[in-house]
This record gives sequence, C-alpha cells and structure tokens, in this order.
Amino acid sequence: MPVLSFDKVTKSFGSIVALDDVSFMVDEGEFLFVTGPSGAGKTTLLRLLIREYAPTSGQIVYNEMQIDTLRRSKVPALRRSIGSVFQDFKLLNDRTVTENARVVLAVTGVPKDEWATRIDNVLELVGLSKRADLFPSQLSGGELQRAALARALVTNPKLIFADEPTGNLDWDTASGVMDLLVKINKEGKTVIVTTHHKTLIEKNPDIRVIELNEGKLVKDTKPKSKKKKEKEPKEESK
Amino acid sequence: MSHLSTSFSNVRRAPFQAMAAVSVLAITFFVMSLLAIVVYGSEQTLRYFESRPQVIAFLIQDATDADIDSLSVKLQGDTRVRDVTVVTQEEAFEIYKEATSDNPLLGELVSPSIFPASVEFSAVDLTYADELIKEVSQESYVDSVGFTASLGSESEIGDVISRLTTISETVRTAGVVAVGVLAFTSFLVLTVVVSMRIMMRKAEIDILSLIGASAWFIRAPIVFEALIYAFIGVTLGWLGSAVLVMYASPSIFTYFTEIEVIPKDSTTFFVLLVVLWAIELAVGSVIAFFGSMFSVGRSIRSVR
Repeated sequence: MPVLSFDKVTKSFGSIVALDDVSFMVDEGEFLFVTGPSGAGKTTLLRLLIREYAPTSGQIVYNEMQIDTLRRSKVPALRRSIGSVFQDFKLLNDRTVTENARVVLAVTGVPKDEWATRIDNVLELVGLSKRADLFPSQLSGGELQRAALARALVTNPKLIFADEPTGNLDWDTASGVMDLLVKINKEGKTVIVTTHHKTLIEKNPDIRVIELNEGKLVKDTKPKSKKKKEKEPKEESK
Repeated sequence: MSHLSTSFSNVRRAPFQAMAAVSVLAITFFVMSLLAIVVYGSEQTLRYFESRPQVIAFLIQDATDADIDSLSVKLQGDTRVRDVTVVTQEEAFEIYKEATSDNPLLGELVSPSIFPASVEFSAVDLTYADELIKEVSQESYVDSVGFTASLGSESEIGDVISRLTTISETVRTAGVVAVGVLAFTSFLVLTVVVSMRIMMRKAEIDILSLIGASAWFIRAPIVFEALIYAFIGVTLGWLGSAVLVMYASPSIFTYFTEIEVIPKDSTTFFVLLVVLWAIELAVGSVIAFFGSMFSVGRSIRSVR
C-alpha cells in the first residue's frame, strides 16, 4: 500500500523548472534512493513533501493526506509526522544534541516523562550517547549528520526523508550512516534518501533507485532481490 | 524548556534591547500614572465644589421663624436640592465668634441681631444652581442670595461650573492625548525591539517551522518576552510615580487643605495605587501582546 505518491508533479520557479511531471509511489516500509546530479530536483522533492513549497501542478499524497492542497494550519502537523534530515542539518546551534532532540519532542507534544528514555534510545542507536551534551559546533560532520538523524527519529515517525545524509562525509562515515538508515528501515519505517553517492547505491543493490535529471524522472530501478523474492513463491508453488 | 523560561533566557541574551524596551515602557507608565493621579485630583476638586453648600440665601432682618421654616421645607421638598441647612442669627453669631476667636474683642462689639439668618443648600447638579438662585431670590423674605463655589473672578455660579468643567475636561483631554502618544511610541519601540529579536532568531524560527512547530509554539516565547518587558516597565513606571506622589503628599495636603486631591486615608490611597497598577498592567499587556503579535506575524511571514 503506498504511503506516499507523487502524481505528475511539476514545480517551477519562474522560467526554471525544478521538477517536471514527476510521478512515483513509495510503499509503506520501503527504502528508496533518489539520485541525480546537483540541481536535478532532489531537495525540491523534500521541500514539496513537507510543504515548504507548493507544487505548480500535480498531486502529492502522503498517508492519505493531500499535501498540495493542504491548508496552512495543517502544515505543522504534516511536518511533525515526517522525520526530515536536511542537507545542512538545521540543528539549533545554541542547544546541545539532547536539547535539539528535546525541542522536537516539545514541538510534537510528546509527554515529558518519555523524553529521557526516547532521547537515550535514539542517541544510542545513532552512536552519539557520549556526545549528548555537546553543541553542534563541537561535533564533526558525521556526528552532525547523526545528531540530525537522531532528531528526526526521536518522535518515531513513519517516514524518514534524508536529504544527502552522506553528502560531505568520508566513505567510512557515510557507510556508517547508511547502515543506520538500513537498520531503521528494517524496524519498519519508510526511508527515502537522496544521494549522488554512486558507490553507496552500488553497495546496496537491494534498494529501489529513482533517478532525476533536470527535474525529470529518468529511471525507476526496482531492487533485484525484491524481484527475486517475488519470484520465489511462484517457484515454490510449482 | 517552557515558553516562559525560554523568554527569560532570551531577555538575558540581549540585555540592552531589553533595557531599551523596559525604559520606554517605564517612562510611558510613569507619565501615565502621574496623569491618572492628576485626573483623579481634578475629579476630586470638582466633586468637592459640588458637595459644598453652594448657595446661601440670606433672609431679611424681619424674617420670622415661620418664614425660615417655610423656605427650608420648600427647599427640602425640591428634588433639585440637597443638604438644606438653616443657620439662625444665634448660630451665625457663634460662627462669627469662632472665626474671630483670636481677637475676642471683635465678638464683644456685635450682637446676634446684626447677623442675618440664612438657609444654605446645594444643588444636586451644579447646572440647577442658576435657576434655584433666581427662584429663591424672588421670595419676599429673602434679602440676597450668594454662592460659595467661587474660584476667583466669577460673578455667576454658571461661570464657576463652566470653569471647573473646562479645567477638568482640559486635564482629561491632555492626559488622554499624552497617554495615547506615549502608548503609541511604546507600541512602536516594542515592535522594533521584538522585530530585531526575531531577526536575530530567524534561523531558529525557520528550523522550528520546518520541524513542525505550530505558529503558537514559535510565537509564544516572543509574546511572553514582550509581556515580561511590559510587566517590568509598568511596575517601574508605576513605582516611580507612586514614590513621587507619596514624597509630595505632605505638600499636596498643605496646599489643597480641605480638598482631597489624593486620599488622606492611607488604606484608600494604597487601594487606589493598586487599582492603578492593575489597570496599567492590563494596558501594558495589551500593548505588548499586540505589538509582539504584529511584529512576529510580519517577520514569520517573511521567513516562510
């Protein structure tokens, strides 16, 4: 069952077309790579999803919510339901890692007595337990990425959208972040990752890849193993 | 962190902006408090003149007790009249003696018969005074009718009424204009300070908006911050004026003697000040609330 669908979505900024007639669906629990060169429209996808932008035309449906016609007053609830990891992290610089997670819990209205447990669990998951009381300026690039991921996960959203989470990271760190996202996906969450890290995609052949170029969806590659798995029951039934 | 504690830490982070906002509000409410006390004083003065026996009808020497009673009963039955007092010749003599007690010889030189009996009364409303004077003057046993509420050069009680009303209205109008101008200035200063704070926190507001914070979650710390400025500014301004009035009260009492331009009873005075503080807090909160909501509305729109 699709949790997210983009149907003939176009987004223009004057004469510049950032996304051009893009259609795709994402099933619940699916892992999806969105790839393409810089300026292909990957970040625009996230911005349309959290209704930072409204599409010029087309429909976006997430969790049975029509985002393109969503009222302004409903936008905060939409954003709270999606775990967004931004390319530039968007962490509050004057707050520690723990405080950044607390802010999102306060925003979401999670009861205070659950905060400590949730934050401890999520920091352990991303491997930042020992950095909990550090400010963003005291963290490395990989740690910042993990802190942003922790903030996205702490509210336990159904969908994680990570925009270039491995963008400026060395291979080992990028691989570590990727393993983490796979682990999160295995826990049942839908994960969408935009990346231009070709090696990362090649190392994960089981993951579906959507390729964008100049705003157009040029390729939608289904995972090989999934196709295999789909065939297996048929073979068994023979 | 609660919105209130976030607001307090924001105040601490930019103390000079906070001081600017508080200073302007303190000056506004200092002047507002003083004007309120002046308006109260002018109202009390007007009430004082209204409550005094405004009209005295002096009777002719031949007036009998029956004449005095007749006038007294007639006035007591008149709905435009209140506080009717009869002063007999003996009572007038006693008043004279008391007034000249420092020179008893003056009292010995006169007899009660030279003092006319009189009937003193007040009008329910000063506007009735003129017609009452005319009516009472027409009585055959009335020698002359005078009024006591003179402020100086007035020859008719109508002039006194009009002068008192003009003074009272002038004070009130000047007060309202001055307070209006100051309140508007405070509103603008508060709006500018809050806008500056929002610009300083633009990135934070942007992030909060992107992670799904509701409009109130973003606005609340900013609105509370403005309310903190209002509370401190109002209290400082009010406190300054209260101290000034308390310091000046002995001189005020000496100068105005019988007129209670400020309450002489300390409990009433304290209650008056507390009521003034409460009203000013309400006004200050309204200015702070709308000032901050106005600037936050404009700034957040520009962030999104």
